[in-house]
This record gives sequence, C-alpha cells and structure tokens, in this order.
Amino acid sequence: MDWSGLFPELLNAILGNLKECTDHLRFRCVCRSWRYAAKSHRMPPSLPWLYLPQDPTNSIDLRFYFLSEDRVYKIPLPQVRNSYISGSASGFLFIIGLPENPKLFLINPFTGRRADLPYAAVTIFLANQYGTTQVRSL
Amino acid sequence: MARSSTENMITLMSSDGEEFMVTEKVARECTTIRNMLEDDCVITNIPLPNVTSDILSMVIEYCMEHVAAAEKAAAETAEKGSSSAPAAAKANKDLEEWDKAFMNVDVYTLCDLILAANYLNVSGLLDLTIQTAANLIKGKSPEQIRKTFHIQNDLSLEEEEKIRSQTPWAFEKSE
Repeated sequence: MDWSGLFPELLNAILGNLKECTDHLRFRCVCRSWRYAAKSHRMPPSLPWLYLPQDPTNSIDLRFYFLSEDRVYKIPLPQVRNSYISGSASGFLFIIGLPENPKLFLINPFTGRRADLPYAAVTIFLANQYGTTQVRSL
Repeated sequence: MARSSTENMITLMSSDGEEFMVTEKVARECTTIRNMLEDDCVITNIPLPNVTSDILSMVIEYCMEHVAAAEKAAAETAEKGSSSAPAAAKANKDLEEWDKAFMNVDVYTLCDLILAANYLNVSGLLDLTIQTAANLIKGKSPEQIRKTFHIQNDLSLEEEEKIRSQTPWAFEKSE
C-alpha cells in the first residue's frame, strides 16, 4: 500500500503528532485522501506568533515570527494600511485607524475574519490608555 | 538462546508462508495476538495474512527488544529490592536510541510497519512509526511531502488553487 492509501484513522493519528497549524494547512494540500482525512481533525492551537514591526517599504504585509519553525511569515492584510496595531487577544488584532482612516476593528490575520467597532470608542480607549493629552495630539 | 522449558512457543505465519517461532511473551506484545490467546489458550500456530515476512520479522525484532528491556528492568528491580533511578533512566535512553536506529527505514517500509503495527495492535510500535511519519512531514511544503512519500497529486489545479488561496502565506517558501 502507498501513503495516499493509508486509512483515514492512521492519517489522523499522524496529524495528531503535528502540533503546528502550518503543518496542518500544508498536509491538507498533499492529495485528496490526505485532505479528506484532515477534514475531521481540529487544527491544533499554535504557540503565540510574534508580531514584528512593519517593513516601512511594504505597508500591506504583516510580518510574524513563528518560533516553532524559526521563520517569518508574511501575511498580506491591506485592511490595516494607515493604522496601527494596538494589541491582540484570542487570535484577533486590535486595529486603530489613523485620523485619515477613522476605523476601529478586530481582525484575525489568519482567517481574515473582521469585526468592526464604533470609532467613537477610540477616544475612550486611548483616554484610558494614554491620558487625554495624547489623544488630542493623535 | 536458552529458554526455560515452561515457556510456550508460538508460530506466526506471514502472508508469504514463512514461519516465525516466538515465545508467547513476545507474541503477547501484539494485542491482537494476545486477545486470540486469551480466547483460546491452545493456539500454537497463527497465520497473519496481512503481514509479509520482511515486515513481520521487523515487528518481532521490535517486540523482542522491548520484552528484553522490560525483563532486564524487572530483574534489576528484583535484585536490588528497588529500582535505581539513574539505571532506569539509562535503560530508557538506550531503548529510545534503539527505537531511533530501528526507524532508519525507507518510507515504503515505514508505511508497511504502520499498517502491521495497527493490524497487530502493537501500541508502542504504532506510536513510534506514526511519530516518525509526522517528523518527516514537519516544516515541509506539499510538494516536498509528496516527493518524500512518493505521493501522486490527485487534486485538480482548481482544487489546489482554491485550498492555497485560503491561506496563501502558509505555502510561501521560507526565506
């Protein structure tokens, strides 16, 4: 028997030993039977990815350092242009638009899922974070 | 090797008709065989139509090594009254090294070993082979995985493009 004909439960056991979501994503793209086996498998929780400062010459790609593989992944996210990333939680980045781009939203860089928040909240958020003077100067 | 006369010997027969005489203790490492023996204790000859002789001899080699290691550990514990932690740690490490060397096989043999370990239900060997396969996949692109395991890509161009477009960053070459 060859590797593409391995029983789904055995392919699933192999997937169980792959601890990184990146390996799971690539596993699914090998052939039909591997893709089928991976369908019933939950993606593993990854180690946190470290967000790296943006490359000034490239405002679209977000750069993340992935410790497990010791490599940098570039994820294009044009939605975060003219804004800055203020924090993250549960896989979402908290994005604050600069004044010329008055938007406030949460976005998951891996899935692209986005939740818009009322922009008025920026003032409240920044007031809590930095005090009112800096808010005015922003 | 001298075996005590009370030890039962069992003959395992591979799919290509080769016979392997093993002690009952070694055979019992295979849960599938253990269950057969418990159902009917007079079995002495077990045909294994799903396992070829070259793979069966490897499975037996694995079981013998692990039985021997367990026996040695038990003998040491009995001798000294209690097991010594450093000696046990060294024995574990030696066995791990042995397992590692045992896994130095081509991917076809690895695949057959996974199937045999699954069929005979040798949990230690199944874990070892599955982990070895996973290690061969880690960090590789789909193309590299296909090459490693000699897998034909049967996804259509459109299908593959669709999968990749969902998370294109995961398929970029590392710099």
